[in-house]
Amino acid sequence: MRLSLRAMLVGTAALSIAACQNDLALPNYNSATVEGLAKDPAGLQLAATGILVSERNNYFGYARDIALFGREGYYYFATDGRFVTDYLIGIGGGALSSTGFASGNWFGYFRNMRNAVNLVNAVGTSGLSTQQKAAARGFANTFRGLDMYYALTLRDSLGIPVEILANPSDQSPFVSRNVAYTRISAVLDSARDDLAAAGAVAIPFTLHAGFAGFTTAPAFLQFNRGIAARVLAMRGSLECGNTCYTQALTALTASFIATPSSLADLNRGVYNVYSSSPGDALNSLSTAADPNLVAHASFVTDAQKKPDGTADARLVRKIAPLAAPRSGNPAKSSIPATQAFIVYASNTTPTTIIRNEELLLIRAEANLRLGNVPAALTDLNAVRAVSGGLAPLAAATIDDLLYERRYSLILEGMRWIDARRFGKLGTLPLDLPTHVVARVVPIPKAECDVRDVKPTGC
Amino acid sequence: MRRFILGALSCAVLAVPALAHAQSREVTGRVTIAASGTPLQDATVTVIGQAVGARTNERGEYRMRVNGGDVQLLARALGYKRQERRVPASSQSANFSMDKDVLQLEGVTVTGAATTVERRNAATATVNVSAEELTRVPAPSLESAMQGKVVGAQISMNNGAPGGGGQVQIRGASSLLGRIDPLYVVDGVIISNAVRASGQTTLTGSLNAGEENGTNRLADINPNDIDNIEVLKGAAASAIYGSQATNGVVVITTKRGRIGGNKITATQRVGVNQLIRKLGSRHFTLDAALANGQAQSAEGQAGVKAAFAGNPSPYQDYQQQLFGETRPTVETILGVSGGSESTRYYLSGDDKQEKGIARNTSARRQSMRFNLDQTLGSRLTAALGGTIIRSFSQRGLSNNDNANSSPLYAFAYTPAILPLGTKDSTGTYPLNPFCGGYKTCSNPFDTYERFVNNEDVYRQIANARVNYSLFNNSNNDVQLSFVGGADRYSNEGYEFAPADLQFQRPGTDRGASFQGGVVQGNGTGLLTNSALSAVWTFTPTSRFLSATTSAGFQAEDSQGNDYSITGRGTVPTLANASGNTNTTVGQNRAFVRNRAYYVQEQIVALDDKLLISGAVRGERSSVNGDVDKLYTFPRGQISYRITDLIPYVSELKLRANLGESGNRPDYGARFITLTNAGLIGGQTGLIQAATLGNPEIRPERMHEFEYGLDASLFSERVRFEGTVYDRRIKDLLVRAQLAQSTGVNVQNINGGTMQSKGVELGLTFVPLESTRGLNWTARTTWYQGTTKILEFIPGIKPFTTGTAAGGFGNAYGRLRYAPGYAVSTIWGNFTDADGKVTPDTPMADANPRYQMGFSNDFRWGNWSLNSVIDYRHGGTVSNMTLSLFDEGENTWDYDKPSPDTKVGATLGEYRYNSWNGGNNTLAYLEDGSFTKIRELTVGYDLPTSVVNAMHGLNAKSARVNLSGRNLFIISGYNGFDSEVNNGGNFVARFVDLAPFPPSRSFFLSVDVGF
Repeated sequence: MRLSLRAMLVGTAALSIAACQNDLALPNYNSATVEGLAKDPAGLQLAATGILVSERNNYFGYARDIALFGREGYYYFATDGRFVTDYLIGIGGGALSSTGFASGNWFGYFRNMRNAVNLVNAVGTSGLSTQQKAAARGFANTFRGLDMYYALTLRDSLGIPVEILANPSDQSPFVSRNVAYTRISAVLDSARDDLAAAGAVAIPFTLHAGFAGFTTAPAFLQFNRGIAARVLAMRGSLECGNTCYTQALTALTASFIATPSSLADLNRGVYNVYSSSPGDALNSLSTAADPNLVAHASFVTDAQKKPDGTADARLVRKIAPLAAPRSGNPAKSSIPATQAFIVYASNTTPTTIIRNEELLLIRAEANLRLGNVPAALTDLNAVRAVSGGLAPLAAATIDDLLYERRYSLILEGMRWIDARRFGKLGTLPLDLPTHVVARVVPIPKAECDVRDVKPTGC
Repeated sequence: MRRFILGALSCAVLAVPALAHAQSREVTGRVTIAASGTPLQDATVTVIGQAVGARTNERGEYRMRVNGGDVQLLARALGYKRQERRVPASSQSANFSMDKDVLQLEGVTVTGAATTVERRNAATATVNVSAEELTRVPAPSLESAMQGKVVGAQISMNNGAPGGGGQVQIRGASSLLGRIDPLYVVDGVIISNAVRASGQTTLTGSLNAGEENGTNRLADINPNDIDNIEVLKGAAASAIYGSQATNGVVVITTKRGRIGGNKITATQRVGVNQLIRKLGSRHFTLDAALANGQAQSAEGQAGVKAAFAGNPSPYQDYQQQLFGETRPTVETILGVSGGSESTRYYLSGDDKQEKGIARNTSARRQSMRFNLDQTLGSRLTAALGGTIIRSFSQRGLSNNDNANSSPLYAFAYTPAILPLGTKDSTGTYPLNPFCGGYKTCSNPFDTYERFVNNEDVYRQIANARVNYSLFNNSNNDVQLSFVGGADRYSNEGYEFAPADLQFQRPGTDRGASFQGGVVQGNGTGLLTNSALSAVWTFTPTSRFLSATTSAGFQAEDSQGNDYSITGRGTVPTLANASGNTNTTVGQNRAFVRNRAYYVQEQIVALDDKLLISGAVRGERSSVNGDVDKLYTFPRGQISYRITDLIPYVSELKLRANLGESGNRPDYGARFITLTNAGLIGGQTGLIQAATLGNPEIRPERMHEFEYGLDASLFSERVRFEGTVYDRRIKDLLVRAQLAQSTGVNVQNINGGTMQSKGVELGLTFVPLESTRGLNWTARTTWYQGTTKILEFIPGIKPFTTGTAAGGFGNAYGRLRYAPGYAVSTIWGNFTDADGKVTPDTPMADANPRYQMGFSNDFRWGNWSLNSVIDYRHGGTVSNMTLSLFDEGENTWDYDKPSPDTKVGATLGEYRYNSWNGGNNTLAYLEDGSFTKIRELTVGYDLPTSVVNAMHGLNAKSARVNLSGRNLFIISGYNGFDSEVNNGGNFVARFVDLAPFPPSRSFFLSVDVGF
């Protein structure tokens, strides 16, 4: 009896020891984990590149949808008429359907904000130097701020949630447009502070060719300030007013803004790049990659003339007649398109994140609104001359500014937003009586459905 | 509290003093079969209350030493009723004459990793399927052999392709997102029942792997090696398999050698498969064919004219032409067994070549098995076993697809007027000009001739059991045991679509970018498990109880590694995946590790009338969010037998079982992962996965009450078994839709509760027992069960899983999981009287209302007749096959009179128009009730005189069997078979979409024993 008990005890003890030696914390073979990012030096690079891939992949939808809402062009898709009905007609009263095609461009931005947060977290526990860590945070938060900007400009007065919380099932509340913009500026400013603290180190990731000239912390800081100035100018035209325009001017001084003497000067900036390699992506805003995106004829009729009587050089560079008119679908709800975009020469031409031409126009806008008209005219006329080949202006109004922005920034995601912030949505051309110009993109129904507290946009 | 009770019991048991030994003497005797007097080999004779026993030899004789004084001997043999005999101190011999156990009252049932209990004491409903029941009629796979024999289970074959592919669902659904198949265990080894995704979807454009019609790996198990299958339903198995027991456990025991001379059995079977139900298609006139919506292309119109040129009724019976093959299926089985008291062996070999009803479809299973039992000295016994299997199948192409490549899909849209099955003078099949034209259709005859879909499995299963008798006296018996084993397989898949197959040609959906394709893949699995147990049985001399205390440890690992190369754009003469125009690779791995501990106390008392048992199992698993957390699964049981209390009732047993079991999360579910976003500037980017992992994920937990009443009546001529169960599944994994503004989209969380209730009844009746030499046993079972979702935690909305297995959207009906509704509810679009359409309306239930099984066994002299009939009442099916034919204006009954000519001119048009583009889902929801003659066998044992006359064979016995499986379907269902399911194994089955048509089979078997 005693023997058996002892044997059982010994046996049980042996078993317990055997059991404890088996480690149950097995890895995930099929996917990289967020947790594993920091442990592998290559992980940080992959995460940083992930932010850039997402930035690029999200950009197509942003630029195209703003082009459709702002009547820069149409998306005529043969087997689906919803690119006409959902964007140009909506569900009545100028509203768009919260489940339709036009209510997209939502998840991608927030997902990329989380990518930025994941990178910041991984950087914190990585083996990077203190300065490199600061540079990496500056990189991540610049894109986080930019993604917030994309999300907010589409939803505008509906507001957006602005925090990415540690526990993903916790919902960050929607905040008003003004609060959201303030938060965007703060995120961009924290990135600025990090980039400044980084000193002269390189951004500790290999950045693609679209970042040529912006790969060190000081140069990346100039990019950051460019984005900051764009956001501040938006705010200047909205609730924040002149305070923000003044701050925009300050931001611009730290940006890569430069007086232009050539198109190359105007085009200096940061870009998304494309490639036809397997696994890479093509520039779907290019006609070569996607012939469905066509231009609005009003570009031609509204273009100013150069002193020699020919059209604004920007029109000639960016818009060309279609070989044959392209019918819309549904045909009765659309008019045939006659113009094509030639903004992008090939299906691998880079798209703009931000460039000098826009910075000059931001400075012109800020000066114009702050009453520094001569300074504003300097920048406007520089853009007119170098980009459009047009004669200088002697005086300037907001409409003059909007003309330059319209032709300088074709397909760069501006026209609809500009028209809205200056109260000029009514000036956008409508082709048919049934057409409307949407004021905001609705919050997607999928978001509204799961919100514990329904925001006003739901 | 529970632990305290267990402890107290153990202490009470320990306190009973042991008694002294007495002197010993030898007892001998003979065990025979009652009716014939034939010696019974391998029967056991034990002394009740003493750890003494012996087995009988070929002559039925036994010999053993017993303690002095009066003893009570107990003789038992598999398939016979136990018999007790008192042997006074003065006597030295005792003979036994054993009666057949027609009602299956004898035997033991598994209660723990190393413990069993007499079936008559069992506190749970037990289901046993014997070797004889399994193998009477050859079956494509084990599921098929179990159909109609397991009360409380819904067993369905996914379609009629050779090689298997079926689902066993025990007591209804117990999970929405987790594992839904039972756990299969062969001689203590957990085996894989995985289905490998072949990658066929790439070539056919179907939606997911379930539609590829792969076989689940149970198909590898040779039913002829099985001695017995015991089905443990849910919580009954909790103490043994804890977090894998929710779906039930199918415990398979293989045949073992018996004491006696070398015994050889040889079986030869020849049979044939035949299309069981043919639907046909519409008979066209020239005008109707020209007007057919599927013939409106230029080639379609030309095709119609060519067909009718000089032939007013050019009807072709495509289904007969393609699925009308009747090539012989052949199976050869050889078994050798025998042994002595110390060494027993069993060896078998099997080669089964099954031919499908369509050309180039077949399945072949070759297997060899050995089992060895060895006694080493007086304390140590060891058992070893192993199987090597090769299992090969060619299952053609069937189910849903997006290229009209699946035969029934293509036939639905093809007016059957052209001889598509006839090659032209150059040896090529014509292109099918219908279903929209050359670029949107396929010629199934060409497809079945040249499309390759091969699955080739090599598998090894090995098991070992070592038992050490640590201590033994008249009151105590302590055994240590080790059970371990491994299941390892490699499953090689090869899919090939030639570039010039019609649906691969340029301009088709599949051939748009690349023509033709090859998928070469391999999935390997390795499952290992080992368990150490200590079992102490204490029987006080007073014998008022017998207490069995056991404890143990179990380790289980499972690994999977699946990789494939997909080549698109085939290169002439090249049949490899690599080297094609576009090549992609894929890999998926899994590694799961489980560690478990258990203790169990089992007491049988009051003259073997009362059973009380309690157990608790603790488990840690690598798939849980917290890998170090021990999840415990308790169980308690009680049963009481009342004997000879009421006239005509010889025994009445009341039983109750209360237990918990689990269903563990999937591998990888606990990780918050990144996903590959593609390249930019030549660099790869990783981004947050849209599906958020759950670091807090834990097993689903089932809490089950089971009550039952079993009775033996009228001198054991009637046996009734009734069971009621009520199970609640908590921590149910559900899909949480997250706010997209969090940066993630969905997450699987433990956030629901589900309830299953059911009733299982069984009545076995022996109307004739040796009445003029005639024996008749009839068994009827009745099962009814429902599973309902009770609640989701706040924030969880009703959800669908989005896979095709759950249905094709509201238009055709789909599963949608919502609190307050049965999980098997089919949701769809409802059109009210005013024409208003409401989506997501509950419409019908896919679950049968009830199921019945009827089996009848007759024996008269050397003749036997056995039948199994399966009846299903209710269970709605989405008859999408019918909708395809109606849409193609091509249904077999299309031209029958319309019930309402305002809706449609003919029956087919009426149905299709009432469906109204999917706004009225009910139009294609149909009752799936059926009666199936599952098995029918006539057997004849050749008389000894004839056997002896077979010169040179030296045979001892011979038997001839004529048998049939799935002989008839009696059903009003307007399709092939309501049992099929397009998506394979799923939570609920109801989608009939262009299946491989089910078949019936006939076999002639000859068994010879040497």
